[in-house]
Amino acid sequence: MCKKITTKRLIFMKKSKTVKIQERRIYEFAGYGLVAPYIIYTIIFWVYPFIWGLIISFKKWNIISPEKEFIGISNFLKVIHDPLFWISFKNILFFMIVYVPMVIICSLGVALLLRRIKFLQAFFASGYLMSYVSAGVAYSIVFSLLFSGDGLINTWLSNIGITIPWFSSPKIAMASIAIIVVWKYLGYYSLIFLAGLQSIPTSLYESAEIDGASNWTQFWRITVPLLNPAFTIILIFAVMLSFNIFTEPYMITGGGPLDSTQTFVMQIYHQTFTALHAGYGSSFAIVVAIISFTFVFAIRKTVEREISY
Amino acid sequence: MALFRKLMINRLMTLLIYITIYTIVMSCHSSKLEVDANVVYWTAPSVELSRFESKMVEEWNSSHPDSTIDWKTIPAGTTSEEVLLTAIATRTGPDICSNIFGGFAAQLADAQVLVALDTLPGFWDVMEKRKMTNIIRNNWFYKGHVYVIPVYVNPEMMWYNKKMLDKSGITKLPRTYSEFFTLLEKVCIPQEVYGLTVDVSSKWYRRWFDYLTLYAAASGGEPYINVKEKEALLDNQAGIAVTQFFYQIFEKGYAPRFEIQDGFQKELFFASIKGAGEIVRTKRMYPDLEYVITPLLVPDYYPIDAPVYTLAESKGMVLFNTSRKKGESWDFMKWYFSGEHDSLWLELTNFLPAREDLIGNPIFIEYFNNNPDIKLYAEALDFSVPLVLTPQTVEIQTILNRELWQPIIFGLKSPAIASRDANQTIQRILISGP
Repeated sequence: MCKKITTKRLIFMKKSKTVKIQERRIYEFAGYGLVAPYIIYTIIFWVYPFIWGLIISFKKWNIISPEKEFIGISNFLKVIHDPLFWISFKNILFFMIVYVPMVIICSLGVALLLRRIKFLQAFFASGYLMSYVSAGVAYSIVFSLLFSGDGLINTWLSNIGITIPWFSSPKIAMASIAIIVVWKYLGYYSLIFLAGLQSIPTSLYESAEIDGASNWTQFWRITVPLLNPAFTIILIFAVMLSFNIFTEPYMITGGGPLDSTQTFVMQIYHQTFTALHAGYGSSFAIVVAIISFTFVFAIRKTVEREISY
Repeated sequence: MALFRKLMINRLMTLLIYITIYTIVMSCHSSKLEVDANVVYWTAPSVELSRFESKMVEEWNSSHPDSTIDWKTIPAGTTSEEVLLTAIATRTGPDICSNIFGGFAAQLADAQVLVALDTLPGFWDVMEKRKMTNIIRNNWFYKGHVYVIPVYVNPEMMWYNKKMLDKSGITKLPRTYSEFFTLLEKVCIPQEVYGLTVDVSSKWYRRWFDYLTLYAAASGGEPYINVKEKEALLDNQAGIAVTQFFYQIFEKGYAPRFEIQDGFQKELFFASIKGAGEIVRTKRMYPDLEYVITPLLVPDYYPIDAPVYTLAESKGMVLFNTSRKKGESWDFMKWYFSGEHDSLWLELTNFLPAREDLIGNPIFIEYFNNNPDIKLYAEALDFSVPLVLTPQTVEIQTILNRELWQPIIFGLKSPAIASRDANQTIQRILISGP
């Protein structure tokens, strides 16, 4: 009897194991199915163009002609010797110096304010996000009119005897563009900071207060260190954006005055689509990608810290 | 519960598969439609031009039901050229397109994507009918063939504010740079009224409307590039004189180093260089503005009895090699350029058709009587030169901006050095080729 039950039980166990394996397979299949669209998208729109770009960077090609002449690393050597590459690099670094601290300080400030709001916090947060979802071309036109020589801003400023050549002075044109980009990303970065702020346990502030720590000390000793993941991600986003800046300078200044707002992506675009040097544009893009990756790697190594509450 | 979940997952998967298949089928289906459509014709995304094109296409389609035209404006993009290039590269481009400037046509011809139109039957008959044989023979040959038929020309001329002229008591309009500067001393008020509108932007195509226009006048209509000899011609008497002129304009504060939208129309500037296309817009938006139109300014050395030339921007129509309907496309082009539609064109677009008989042909008399300002431009066509047909137009004008225009605006180079630097760099890229 006992033996009989054991056999039945064994059969049942075996069956249920088979069912479990089948169920697991279905779940796995479903999992792959659900991520498949994204993977397919990535392969078609990221991996394939990247490989294609890598191939044509070693060739001389004008986009439309079927002929593609292999020229080895000539394009890469040309990039290194191109004065506009170095001008763009200098401009990007200047943009970064202005933009990164400005956007971090402003978005952290907004996040700190948002945290204090008890009612309609989501409403205000999404309000700040409106700039992020605005069309680049549209707001670039609006800003170029606002900041132009006879624009609204200068008309106001002229009342106190000041006129600022926002986009026409080579010294400040890139900084003016940085201001516009800060406006665009302020809401988005604030939300990241807000999420970071909300994840810091309030008990830490309570104990600090009991220990007699001032608000200032709490900010520097608790908030800033524990916001490290948010700082790191925003820093990486901001640096990557600096390397990819295109719409605003392209629409507003066209790279001028005196090439002071030329950027890497503008050069890539110009070489590829205007001068029809697609091979050169591609090698330019690869060099820029390597530099951008190096910056991101260095930031992660120097800024990123393990955080435990 | 497990069975329910299993069912749900299966349904979800089936749905995903259906969506994927549907998307693929629909995208194939739409590209099939594109291939099977009749002649696909793209034109400039302009309201005025579209008014004319829609009438033309409607008329053609009603009389040719077997070879209809599928007309649309060039899809939105940063530039028409970029959109066209992408379309050509992805084989989704049109059969014919009518917003092509000569330099871009030369690029496309080099890439072997254009049909040499002069090899098509009846080409010269069409040119003769539209009275543009000499225009084509003198200016539109590229590497021994004609790849683009100019639709319109847009020459540049000087505009002066009439109120300011009357106020200063001057009756004789300036002809030379010196006369112009003398006049500016009387008319301009620092920071209030500037002398000449000058585009300070770095956009490559803007140099057609200032530096290269005045170069055409200063050189007596000579080109700034000798395409055959691969020679840049900017470091000569005319080139240096034009550079010197703009250098002085900025040095003396007669033009600001920033943009002022419609500065001339807002009466913040005394003079401006403008094309005929600006007349209708100005009359519509600034009806009270009074102005005088004259030929361009020339350097002091320019012979007093010599005609004053100008540069005329021009856009034309091309037929793509990739077209599967070349015969039908060419039939449409022949009909389009038959010359019968140019009075309608002028009426609806106010752009001058590229033909030699604008003044004198009875079909245009009424229009010019009603539009005397535009007639001045039509009269100047005899002394207008087209843009140089070179596939390196963009590179040349980008260098011009970098080596000459921008340094001159900020006074960083002397006119002679700026002309020399621009000439040397352009010369280098002409020799190295596209």
